Amino acid sequence: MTVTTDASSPDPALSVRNLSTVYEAKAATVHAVRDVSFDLRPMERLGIVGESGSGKSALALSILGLIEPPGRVAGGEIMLGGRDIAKLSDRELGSVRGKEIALVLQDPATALDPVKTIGRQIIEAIAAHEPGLKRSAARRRAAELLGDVEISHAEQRLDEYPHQFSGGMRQRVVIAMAIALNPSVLIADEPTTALDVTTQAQVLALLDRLVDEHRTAVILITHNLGIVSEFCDSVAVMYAGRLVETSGVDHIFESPTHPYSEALLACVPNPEKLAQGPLPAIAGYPPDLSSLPSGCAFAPRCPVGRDIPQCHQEAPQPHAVSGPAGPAVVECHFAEARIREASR
Amino acid sequence: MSEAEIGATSSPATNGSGPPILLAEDLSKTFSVRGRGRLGRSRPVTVLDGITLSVQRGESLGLVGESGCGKSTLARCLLRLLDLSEGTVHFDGVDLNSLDSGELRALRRRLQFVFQDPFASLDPRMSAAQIVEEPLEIHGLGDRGERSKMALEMLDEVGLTPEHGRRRPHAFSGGQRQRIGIARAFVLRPELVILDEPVSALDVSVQAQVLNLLRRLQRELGLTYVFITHDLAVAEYFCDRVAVLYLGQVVELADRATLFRRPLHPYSVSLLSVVPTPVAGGRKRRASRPPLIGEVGSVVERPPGCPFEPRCQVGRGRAVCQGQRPPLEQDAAGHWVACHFPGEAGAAKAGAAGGDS
Amino acid sequence: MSRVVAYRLLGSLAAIFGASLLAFLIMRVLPGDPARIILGPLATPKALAEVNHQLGLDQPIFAQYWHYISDFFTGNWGYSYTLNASVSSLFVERFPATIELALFSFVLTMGAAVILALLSTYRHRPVTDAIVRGASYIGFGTPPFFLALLLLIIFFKSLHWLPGPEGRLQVGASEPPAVTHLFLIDSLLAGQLNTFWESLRHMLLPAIALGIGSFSFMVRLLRANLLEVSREPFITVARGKGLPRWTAFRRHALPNAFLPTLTSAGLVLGEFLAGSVLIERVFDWPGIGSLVFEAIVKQDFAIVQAFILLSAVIFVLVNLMVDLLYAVIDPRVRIPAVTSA
Repeated sequence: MTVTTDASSPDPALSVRNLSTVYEAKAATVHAVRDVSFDLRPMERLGIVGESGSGKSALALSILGLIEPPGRVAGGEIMLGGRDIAKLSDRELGSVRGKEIALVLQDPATALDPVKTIGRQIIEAIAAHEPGLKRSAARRRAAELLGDVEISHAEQRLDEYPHQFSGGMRQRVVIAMAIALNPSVLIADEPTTALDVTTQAQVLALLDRLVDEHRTAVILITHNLGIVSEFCDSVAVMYAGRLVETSGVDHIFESPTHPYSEALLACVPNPEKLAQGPLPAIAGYPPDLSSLPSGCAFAPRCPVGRDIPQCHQEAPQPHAVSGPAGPAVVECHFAEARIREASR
Repeated sequence: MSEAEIGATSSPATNGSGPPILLAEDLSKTFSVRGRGRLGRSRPVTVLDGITLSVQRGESLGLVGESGCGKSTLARCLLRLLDLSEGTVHFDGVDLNSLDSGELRALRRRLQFVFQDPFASLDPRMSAAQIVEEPLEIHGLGDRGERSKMALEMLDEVGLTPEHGRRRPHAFSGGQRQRIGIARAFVLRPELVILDEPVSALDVSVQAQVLNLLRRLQRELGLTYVFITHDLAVAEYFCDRVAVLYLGQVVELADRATLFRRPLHPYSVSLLSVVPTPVAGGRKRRASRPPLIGEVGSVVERPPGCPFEPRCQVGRGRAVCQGQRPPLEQDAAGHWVACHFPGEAGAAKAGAAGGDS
Repeated sequence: MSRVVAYRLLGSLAAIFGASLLAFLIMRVLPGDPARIILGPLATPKALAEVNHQLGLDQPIFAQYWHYISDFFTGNWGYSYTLNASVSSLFVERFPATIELALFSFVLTMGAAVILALLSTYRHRPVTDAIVRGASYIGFGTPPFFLALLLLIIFFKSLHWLPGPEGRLQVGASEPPAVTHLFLIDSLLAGQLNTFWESLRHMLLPAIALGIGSFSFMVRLLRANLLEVSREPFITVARGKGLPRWTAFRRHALPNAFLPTLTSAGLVLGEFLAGSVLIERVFDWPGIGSLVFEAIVKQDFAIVQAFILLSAVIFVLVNLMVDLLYAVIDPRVRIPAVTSA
């Protein structure tokens, strides 16, 4: 299954096929990522949107091979730079992580080791891949990187500790470490969620500049659809471990086709189309990933399929559709019908 | 006494009908903050600086601002969960400062609080029903049977079944925990509830459920809310009037429509412009707006003049902004703003947007 | 930094003052007339009064306290009537045995705790983890003197692997030439490998018995800290840089997990140094603990009083050292946080 939105694109920077990740506990097996496939073009900015427990962070960690026991990647391919990195040992993956594919995490307060200087932590990112590097040269590179993420007095600040930096500054440091070796793919898991809105805007602007300069493709994982609109080219909506709708960014806001995408958009208080009266909330709660229903995982909450037997019995396959704002791949039995309706 | 008038005369949303249920006048809060480490030098830090505002019966007043603006401290001062350093808070005409602890406890029945983190505020060893029952017990309401009946009714009100009532907090999802937190506060049938970021920890789909629930309870029980949030979209959706806080001061206060359509303070203008909205064309939108300089300042080093001056598009470097703290003043439309050049930032922005299109 | 030191010193003095007051008062309210204990049941009232005068017990209570404190800090800790020696000389004589056992047991305890905590947390090993946790519970629940007897029955009585309760060396064996008074070190300095070996063998069982409770406690503390820290995002970030699992763990998880256990480690060391009455008694270890045991039995209150105050001083000093250590090695204590962006 291919869910690229642009068929004419060159070789993808990252190509994920049928990726599944499970957490095996005594009582139950949690299916955090279920058979996920997508392509990421060079310099593409893909937003992965989902609520907590949808499996979006597990997807990020699975791609990086950082799922810790009792979790494990149960199957699938992760093609990066012409090889399947899902087949590599942890040690072999070490030379890929940080160099070809890098990670930025949500909470800058905890993403840095509190008892090591900023400089040591940045140098560590470089030295992990260039063991022969001289100390002075590494330090110079680290200072350049700090300058690159717009931190002034970089040379002095290398010797400071994380608690001497504000939240926004710490996130800049984490970004500096991630771009240290010019990775071709950057995975940013909620990079601005813990920041104030004004700081968030600055960090997004910084990411903009860096990914353009370094020609990096970005996977931005977030629960905030507004940020997807402001940063991404394409978007994948994740629900219960699956990508239920994948499309260009305009499609999702103009004609969301999966009923979950539509409901998710509708229940965000949206100043631009503010309605009085109750928000159209989604009934119920996300399903338990250890005991999923046999049909569509969204069916019990779905305004369209709640009462339709097919939705409860049969898991929907991906449907490639073409909406008014571009093509999309939607895992819903009614994808075509809903697109026809939207186009009318 | 222009500041005292805020409470006494004006409340644009309710047209000043009746006396305010809650009135804070010239409220300040200073903490003695110890330096970092085990034994730093302690020094006073003013977290709230001369706040005056009123809450009318039946309305929802929003308090919005970024981290360090003092909104949560303000909420606690309004309930006298924290003692004030200066100023007064009147609830229904009663000066909270004048009450002893027993009288205050009795009054708390009418004044409740819902916390941000639903999990941290629930005792893990108690069942949901016990948690909701406890406030009734503390205030000596009803006998055992009546209390447990009231608790179950309240749980039902917030959408939880008696079976839910037997479970402990860890068995609930975030949204359900917040429902328990709401049930615990509302079971006493309070008149005013302070909601401190009640939906910030929740997913959007659950957030919508909880906001709807709060709305419904407000309507049914005739409640007054003080709603604290950093999420401007939520504030715009939920509140009748909104106060914008920056470094412990109210910089702007107006009814919802006025504030969000025509913000006058440069900080409000920036804050509103950077909120990402989930509609198409976000990248163009973001590229067109001017970046906001610097990060949120700190009350530890409050600028001597306007607190926003170091980051302000309009006033940065201007002598009057650096030297004088602008008073919170009302315009003809009842729109309060603390700025030497109100409206200039909004005008500049509108001009820029017009030029673009 | 100097202010930190000054504050801590003041706090320490206050703690010692409190302990001294406690020791002083306890000994005053305990039943038993010191003079009568010294002179025996047949003493005349005149003799009793004379001894009371010698001891200063006829003076006002404040004066007595003042004498007690000033005497303690000038090294005049009173006279033991049961052993016919000055208390300070007795402590000087007995202290090295306690110190050696304490340090040895401390190293053993901490080393074992660190190793087991690592084994049970590094990577996901549910079985090892369960065994370590179970062992730590058993260790925690076993009374040390019971364990001491059990160890003796197994390793001395049945297996004959280790010596019995005969103190620091075999009966009649000559001590190594005194330099540090710690046999392990002195024997090495003198090149007496045989004495070193014997001293080690003699110390093993008491050290295990002494350390078992603290060991169980430290294992669980370290395990909990390691589990918590290894879930921290900065570990994931470090792994994301391309660091191998063990490197990321060693560089980032270990320091952050060990740092908060310093305080507890200090308490453990303090406890060991103050001597264990029961363990020393069971192994006939010639340290402070057995001295105090005899003193309690014979109501020799000068020794007990000095012991209480000395324990307080040891605890306070160890804690002071721990706090200063934090100020040196934890940057969050050493360097103030940013106050504005």
